[in-house]
Amino acid sequence: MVRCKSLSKATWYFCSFELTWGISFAGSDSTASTMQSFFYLVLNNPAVYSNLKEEVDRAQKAGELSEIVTYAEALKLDYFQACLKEAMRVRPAVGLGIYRNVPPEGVEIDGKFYPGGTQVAVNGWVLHRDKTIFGDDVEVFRPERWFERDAKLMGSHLYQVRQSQKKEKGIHSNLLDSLVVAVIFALGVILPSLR
Amino acid sequence: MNKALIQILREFDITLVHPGRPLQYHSTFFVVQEGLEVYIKKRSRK
Repeated sequence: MVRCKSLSKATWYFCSFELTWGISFAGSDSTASTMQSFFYLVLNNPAVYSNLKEEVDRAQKAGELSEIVTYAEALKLDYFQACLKEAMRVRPAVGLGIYRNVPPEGVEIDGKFYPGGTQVAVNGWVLHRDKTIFGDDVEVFRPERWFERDAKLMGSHLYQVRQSQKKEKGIHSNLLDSLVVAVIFALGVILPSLR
Repeated sequence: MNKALIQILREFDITLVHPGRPLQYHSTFFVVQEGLEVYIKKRSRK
C-alpha cells in the first residue's frame, strides 16, 4: 500500500508542477469533484436524501439556519456532515498519493526501512477501503457508519488533503469564485424547457 | 462547500436525470468527474 520515492531533479520539477496545479485548481477542481460525489451518492440513495432533507428542514424550522447559511451552522448538521465525510471516503477528490517526507533519521514502516530524504504515500482510494478502520461494507455509501464506529479514528484516516492544505482551505479568499465554478461543474443543470 | 451544499438542499428538490448511471471520471492528481445531470426544482418554504 505504501509507495515511496527518492528525491531527484525530476521529482522537484514534478513537485513545482504539482504546487502550481494545486494553487490554481485546488479550490475549484477538488471542490467540484467532492460536490459531484456528494450529490451523486446522496441522490442515488433516496433514503439518505430524505433523511438529509428532513435534517435541513428541521433546522430551518427551529430557526437554526440563517438566510445565508454559515459554516458554523452547517457544522452542526450531524447527518449532513456524515454524508459529506462518507462521500469523501467513497470517492475522494484526490486520485494520487499525497507524498510526505519521512523524518531525517529515516523510519520503519511495515517491516521495511526508509532512509531520510525518502517520500512515502498511500492512495486515498485504497486507504478509505481499509476494513479494519471503516467496517466490512467499505464499498457501500452509508453515512450511518459515522455514528456507529469510531468517527475520530475514521476521520483521521480520510486522506483528502495535507495538513497544511487543510489550513489553507480554512482561508476563504478563493471560496466564492471556486464555489460558483463548483456549482456549475457539479450540477449539470437542465432548463425545464429542455425536458 | 459546507454552506453551499446546505443552501442548495434547502432551496431545491433535486432529481437525477439518469438514476444509477455511473459518473464518468478520469484520475489525474484530482479525480475529474462528469455526467451528473439533475433536474432541480425550487422548494416552497414551509
